Amino acid sequence: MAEKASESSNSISLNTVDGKIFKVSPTIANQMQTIQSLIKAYDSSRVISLPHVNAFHLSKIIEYLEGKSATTVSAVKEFEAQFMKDLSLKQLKGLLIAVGYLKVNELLELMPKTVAKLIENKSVEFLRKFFGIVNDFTPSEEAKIREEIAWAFDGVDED
Amino acid sequence: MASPSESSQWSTLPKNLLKEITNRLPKPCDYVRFGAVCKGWHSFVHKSYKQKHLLHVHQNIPLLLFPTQDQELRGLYNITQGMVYNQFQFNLPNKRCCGSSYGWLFFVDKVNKSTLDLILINPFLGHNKTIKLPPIKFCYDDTVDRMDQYGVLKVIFSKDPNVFLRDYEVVALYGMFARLAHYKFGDKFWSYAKVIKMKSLSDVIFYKDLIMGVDRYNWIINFTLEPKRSIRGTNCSHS
Repeated sequence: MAEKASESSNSISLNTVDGKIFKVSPTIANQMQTIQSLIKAYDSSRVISLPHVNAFHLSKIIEYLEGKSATTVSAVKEFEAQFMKDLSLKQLKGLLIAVGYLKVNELLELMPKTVAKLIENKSVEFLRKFFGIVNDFTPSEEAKIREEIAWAFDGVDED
Repeated sequence: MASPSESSQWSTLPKNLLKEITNRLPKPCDYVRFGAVCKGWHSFVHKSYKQKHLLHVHQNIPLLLFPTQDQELRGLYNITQGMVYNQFQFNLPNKRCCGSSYGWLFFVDKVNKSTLDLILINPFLGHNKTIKLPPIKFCYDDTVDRMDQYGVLKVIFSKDPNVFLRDYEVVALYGMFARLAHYKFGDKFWSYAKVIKMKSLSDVIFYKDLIMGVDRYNWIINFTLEPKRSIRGTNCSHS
């Protein structure tokens, strides 16, 4: 009981851009490098504002950091797979930016790996459609690029 | 799936995140295709270290493949510059590589009593990019029980099959007597040169449409393909 109390008094308050306050334990906070350095720089009792992170993204990061402390390697793997599966493509991008800003090392490993898996063996047309990217090359620019890297266009998956 | 308006910001993802993603693309061809999606990704890929290295790699043969701590992964070492390319690791069969040509690597895939299968992989094009050739048949007096993955001494292409899709040839030196076998795209079988015992070959090259070999006594032999799939060897060294 006493331990719990001391932990809650040590907890760090984080204020997201949409005005929600999160109280997290130092263990969780220290896994976000940006926050770790802010705690070191300022008085830790102060509320830390995060102008680039919204409540949804922060709650997801906390969910991940709490959830990945599962006991077995396979349980962590399963948790990570489910965590990534639950995200829409739009959420994935927003969360990736938040993770990049907060420097959450483990998610900076897991999330780009997931995106890379989505890209692997895919055609350029598929990637544009999948990520909703408009082809902004002129036809002659595109032709030139394709000629330069013709060797990379073989062996892609069927779209 | 997200609609374009929701997710088009993927094209303007911060550089550090693009780097995190592209660093995890296992194959150079995925990386290069990534750069062909839109201007934003193209300029990122174009300015990046890895793209420069990829072009550099293509222009800087010979390169050495070396094993890494992970049994399945091989690293790449530039001999002339004395540097390791940390950006590239290739997932290749855990087998002996018995030759390389135009960026392609040759592996002995399967060996049985009378035949040997080669598999050709171009790691720059991803490990899906393979070519299977018809099996090479052993000569009747080759001691089959001594055949294993070391049964191929050398194997090379005449031209890059990635550029000359239907116009490449392969020669291999294989077996105890380093017999020469020849394959041309479209053939169903290999053609074999007659075995000259005690004069087994130690090397072979394609030179201006010719197949030139060197035997153990440093004689140079010119091989010509004759009708009926036979290969004639002519000694062209001056004695």
